[in-house]
Amino acid sequence: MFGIALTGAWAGAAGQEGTDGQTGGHGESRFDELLHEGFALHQQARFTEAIPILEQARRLAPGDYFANLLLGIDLLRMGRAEAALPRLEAAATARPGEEIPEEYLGEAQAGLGHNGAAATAYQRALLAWAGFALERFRQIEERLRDTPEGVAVARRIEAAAAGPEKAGAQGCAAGIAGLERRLTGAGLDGDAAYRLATCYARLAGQAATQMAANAKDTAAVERLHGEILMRLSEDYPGAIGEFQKALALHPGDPALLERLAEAQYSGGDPEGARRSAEAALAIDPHRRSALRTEAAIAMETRDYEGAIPTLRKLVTEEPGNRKPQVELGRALAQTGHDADAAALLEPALAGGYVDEKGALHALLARVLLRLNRPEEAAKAEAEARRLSDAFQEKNRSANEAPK
Amino acid sequence: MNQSRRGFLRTGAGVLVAGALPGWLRAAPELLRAAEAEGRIRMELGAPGLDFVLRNDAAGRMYQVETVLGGLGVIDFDGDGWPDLFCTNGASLPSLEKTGPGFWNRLYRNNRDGSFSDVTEKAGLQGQGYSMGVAVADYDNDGREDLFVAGVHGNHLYRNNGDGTFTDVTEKAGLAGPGQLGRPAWTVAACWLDYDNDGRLDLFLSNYCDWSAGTDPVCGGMADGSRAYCHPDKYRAEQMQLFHNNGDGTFTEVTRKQGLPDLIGKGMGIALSDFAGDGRPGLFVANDNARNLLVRNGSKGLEEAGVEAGVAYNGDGRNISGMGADFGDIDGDGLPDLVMTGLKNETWEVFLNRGKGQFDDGSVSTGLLNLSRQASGWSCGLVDLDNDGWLDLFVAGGGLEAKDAQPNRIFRNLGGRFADVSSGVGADFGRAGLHRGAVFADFDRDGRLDAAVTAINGRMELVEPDGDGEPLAAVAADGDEEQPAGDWRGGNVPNWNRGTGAVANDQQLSGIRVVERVDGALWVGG
Repeated sequence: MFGIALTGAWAGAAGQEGTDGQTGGHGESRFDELLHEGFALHQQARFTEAIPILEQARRLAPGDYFANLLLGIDLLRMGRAEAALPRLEAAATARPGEEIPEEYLGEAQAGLGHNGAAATAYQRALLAWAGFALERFRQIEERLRDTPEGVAVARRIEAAAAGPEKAGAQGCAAGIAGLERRLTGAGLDGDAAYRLATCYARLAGQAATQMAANAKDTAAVERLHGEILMRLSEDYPGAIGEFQKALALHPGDPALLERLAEAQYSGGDPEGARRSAEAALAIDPHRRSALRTEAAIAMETRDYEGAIPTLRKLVTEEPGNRKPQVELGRALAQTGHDADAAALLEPALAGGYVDEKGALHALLARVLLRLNRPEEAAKAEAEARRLSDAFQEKNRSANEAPK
Repeated sequence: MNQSRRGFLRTGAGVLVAGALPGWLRAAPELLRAAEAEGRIRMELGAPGLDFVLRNDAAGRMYQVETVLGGLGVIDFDGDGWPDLFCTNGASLPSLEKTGPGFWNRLYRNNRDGSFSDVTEKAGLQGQGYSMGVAVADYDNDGREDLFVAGVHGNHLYRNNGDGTFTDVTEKAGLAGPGQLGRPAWTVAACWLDYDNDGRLDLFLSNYCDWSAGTDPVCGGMADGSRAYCHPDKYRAEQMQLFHNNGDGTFTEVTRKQGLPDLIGKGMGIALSDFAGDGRPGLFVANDNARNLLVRNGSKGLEEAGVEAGVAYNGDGRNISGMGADFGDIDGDGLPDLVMTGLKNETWEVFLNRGKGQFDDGSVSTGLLNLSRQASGWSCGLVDLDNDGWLDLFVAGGGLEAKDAQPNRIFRNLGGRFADVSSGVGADFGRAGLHRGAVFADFDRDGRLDAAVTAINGRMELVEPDGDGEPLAAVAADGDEEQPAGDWRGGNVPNWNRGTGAVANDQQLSGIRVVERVDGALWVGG
């Protein structure tokens, strides 16, 4: 969505002088040059290179909407959410009515675990807000299933959902941040969980209603319905239907296509998913969800050679995300590119990439052995065993179940 | 992480992507049609008198123990040379007590005419507790086959008295109680092996997890009918156990003494073989979403070598819900390979033995990866069902719950690649159920292997080849004269390697013979 929107806006933005920025004279052309260069690198997902150039541009025009937005996004993509926050906030301040910076602000806050702040940011971007609210509702309900107290709370939530609406969403929006804080404490605050879950559900419903009433076309509502069916109900055929209806109104919308691909993949239609993902990528090669779906399909069939090009793209698109790097390492290990595999797996594991059952260490051990590094292989193997045993020795449900 | 196994698996949903397949795999349908046309495997169902119904007492609470019971054992308890059948059964929940005959374990005598008779009461084998698996062997070397029944919080050793009755000698044998675990174990499977080559069979137990009805968590949705069995990650894994046979009817736990304290996992099926080719039996334990274990019986004693050997995780370097397992030479190179089943939306695994204790992923090259994706597999056997010298794969099929009933599967081995011939082996064979345990023997002594399969809350199935197959002896390798066609032992699991003489010889050299398999495990006797 972002790439397309910015491209469309770019022509206008490039011609604007001093609208959001504070440059003038020679500085303007230099700023313009840097912004163009930074944007070009951004479009190629060369975030590491884009960041210093955009930083230079921002110094020339500290309040510029595009400089701050691009920089914020690129920092976010590099896994630097803390650094991204002030940039995205500056972009949001420069254009108070724009949803895009709020959406990325929400993503940054959620990535840092600041769900309350994320909710606040998301609420200013209606569609993204509804999606976030639904996801948090699902997360909270899932967490509740771990304990007897949680089960009781979840039953209350279900009863509330099934019964007539007694209390509206008044006060919910303002109270979410506080409730989120209560939920981050040790142990389960059942009251906070109940109120938060019901608030999220109500506010998501409110957003959907608002969208249905205000939307000039219904595609956004159908997309939201699709998200609800996919993420909450796991009703993949239903979600596919909604996304297809939305696509009938906006043929070729890559955001819809990549969601359709996700629903098709989760629903057991990888061939359809592959076609949808390819269609999304043909329009917007930077669609990360579409790339992830393509890679997942190839990896699932152990078509490692087929997965490698997609994973390489994903690594470029998400340089701050270890997961595609690890998957690429896995694929390279299976295709005899041991040195390249080790170059990806070793730093990921050394950097704390989650390997709770030791499987990746075991894979690395075999790679290192083939690279004639027996001592390091033995260490990786021992770590695989240690991690596996440590995981299996934990009891994640002791004394939690109802009698 | 999703809390339920059902939900967890759903998140990994996905099936075959034809366009992404290598050419030879795309040709699999042609191979399948060819195999079906050739008609080498045809099966019929049924055996009068075999009326066993496996009962798990599921009533919506979704206790974890409900999912993995149903082990079977082949035993010639009366020494008449005809294979009889022992069936384990569940119990009431949450009490874990066999509160009525519907929960009894059952012993069926082979009447030598294709029918069976229930002799449970006379034999005194009704059992106690929630039973899981069974291992058959002559542990006391008196020439009569005995029974070890694995269960939830209680195992039982039954000594064969030789007069059609059995005596529960668990206490006397020193096998009662939790042993070194210090808490009641949930044992899913067991096997007999002579790990120290002293001529007496020792006992290895595959334990699952620390579980009790009172602490079993609630998983899945909250609404009626939306509960699900919890993902195994919710539970603390259990340690495997090894008991040394003292030769006087008693056993001593040597788990720690033999260097096995690190054998931790959610143990399911056991497969046993001289996979290293050194004349010593080793074993593989399929683990449910935990690192699989490979116990090598080397010159330094027992050691766990799953990671080093490449079988600890699946070929993709991940965990699956390991269920049943079996060793057998799939690719005809004379080395015992390994197969492991898992649940739907995972893939079953083939590990090809490359020698020197190393295995490679063979799931893609054998075709099993894509053939298995939509099926849940439990007990399995690499057995030559069509007597062509190649080991076929039989898998007991079925999901976790009644709404996911599935048929059993037969994959014909076409020279190292599998083709799913299930749909062409007889109309009744496609019957869906929650199949669990499977054993293989030539029950009617016609020279062809039969399969007995349990199904949760359904009548057990005896699957027999129809009358067109070649006699077993006609394709037996290396003139295995001790196991002639017509002897049930000849048609039983020892022939898992028939047609690949080297491995068959390995078994003879190692002094072991496979007697039973339960829930995917192989049981050996000396």
